[in-house]
Amino acid sequence: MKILKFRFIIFISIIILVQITLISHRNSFSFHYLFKFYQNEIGIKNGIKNKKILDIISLIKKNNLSEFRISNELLTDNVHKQSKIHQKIFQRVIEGSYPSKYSKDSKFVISDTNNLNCKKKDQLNQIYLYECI
Amino acid sequence: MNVFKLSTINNLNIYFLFIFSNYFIYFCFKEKLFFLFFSILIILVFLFTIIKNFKENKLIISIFILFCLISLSSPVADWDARSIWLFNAKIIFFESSLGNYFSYSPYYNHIDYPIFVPVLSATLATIINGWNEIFPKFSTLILALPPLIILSKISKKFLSKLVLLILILFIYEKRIINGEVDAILALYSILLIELLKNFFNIKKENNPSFGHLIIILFNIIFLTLIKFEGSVIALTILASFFFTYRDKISNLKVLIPIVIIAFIPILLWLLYSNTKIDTSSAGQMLSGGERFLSNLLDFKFILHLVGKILINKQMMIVLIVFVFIFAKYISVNMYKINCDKLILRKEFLFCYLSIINYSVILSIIMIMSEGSTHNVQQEYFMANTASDRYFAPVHSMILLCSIYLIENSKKARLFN
Repeated sequence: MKILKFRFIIFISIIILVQITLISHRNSFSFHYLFKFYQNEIGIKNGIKNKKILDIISLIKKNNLSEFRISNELLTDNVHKQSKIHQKIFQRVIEGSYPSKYSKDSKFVISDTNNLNCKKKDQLNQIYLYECI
Repeated sequence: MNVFKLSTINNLNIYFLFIFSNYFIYFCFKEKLFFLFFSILIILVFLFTIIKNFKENKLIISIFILFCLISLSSPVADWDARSIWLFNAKIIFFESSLGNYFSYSPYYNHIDYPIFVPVLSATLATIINGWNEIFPKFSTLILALPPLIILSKISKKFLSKLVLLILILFIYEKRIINGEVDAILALYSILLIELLKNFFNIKKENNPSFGHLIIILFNIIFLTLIKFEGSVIALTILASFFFTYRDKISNLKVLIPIVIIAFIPILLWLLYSNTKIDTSSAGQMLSGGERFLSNLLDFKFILHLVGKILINKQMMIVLIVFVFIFAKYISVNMYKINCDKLILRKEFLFCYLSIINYSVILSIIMIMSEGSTHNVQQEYFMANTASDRYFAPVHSMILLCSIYLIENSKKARLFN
């Protein structure tokens, strides 16, 4: 009985460890962040993952914009060819760039096209910041 | 009899008091006056509670500490957590006062949802003097600790400890650490069942302390403030409790003022938020129930919804565990089914009634919300994406019932 109990406990312990490993994997666990939880802005890269969104957020923060808007080209879902706004880009940018706020009337426009009829203020990879007056 | 020690109750009451005071002061004065003060107090009482309970509940507390480490080493990634709870927390953190909280709301972040958990997240961010994607979501673990301690205290036998582990590791999974509030809502709903179940045990031992009543008060307040569904759960559990123990109504009178007081904070929030927005999220989702009848008569949808509620990993695990344990109390021969008297005891009837009532109410809500213009415009969106998540309190109640059955079993001494 004691051997049976011992084997059962070992079996349960293995299942627990495997499940905890799975949970940490699904939660984007990274040893890189261990004991760095107190640092400002940490985790955004692994949390968002999308390079384009990260570039947009970085550009907004770098220029210290209080308000911005996103160009229609960026918000069009090119994958599904839909005219509705690209939910993922829109939402992640709004969340990641806050306290900078999204405003339809802002003169600062974030775009991925290089030929907008406005003054180009800054650029990060394929993302451009324009000032449209 | 699972009557908890007064020291445990008092410890948890102080824990709850700090968290609630922080929220209440912010709500009343609309200013982040004491965020830093309370963040230090809450972290200290959190560490003290872990250390104090470690010796008694080594297994559960060790797993909880592991979860803390995972949470502190992983960024927020899931939609609900990132786009609702932690985004609202970020707004609270950066805006100078509650007055400005409603000034900026994209269409999707449900700004009128209760801010109890976001306020705690924003409070935690104050201690690191900045915002990041990791530390603010630790608030869910801070809230999860008290129910887990109580649950680990009632799970004395090896098998019930195993059921509790199944609940944490296979039902809640990452939901307990990823910044979403569904797992803590489920934990507080079963904590309320446990505390109410013990109400008569406390009376019997002639020890109805003030602390026991206060913890019930805090439990209902937290349950209602975590998420709107919490109010429905609290009312369902309380109605089931009063119905089951209706013959002892004179003893229950002391609970009535507590219940009334407990609903004041959520009512105040509803009144306040409704003055700031045009239509509430819940109102948009349910549309006054105008789609209920047409959805109910849509056989394909009902079949789909029932399938999504019953056939998912969490429900399957929960039902297998429950049937496996429950079967011990039932014997079937050719002519009749015999039940052990134990499974018909009032505390079990209270549990079954809570499970059935909440399942029915939640199903009605899901039927009403199908086709809402407020949702993503996909067929059966709510049924497809939220069935397992919304039913987390039901899963938890079924497993709590399994724990009660194991703990009350005289024969289940395997690995005891």
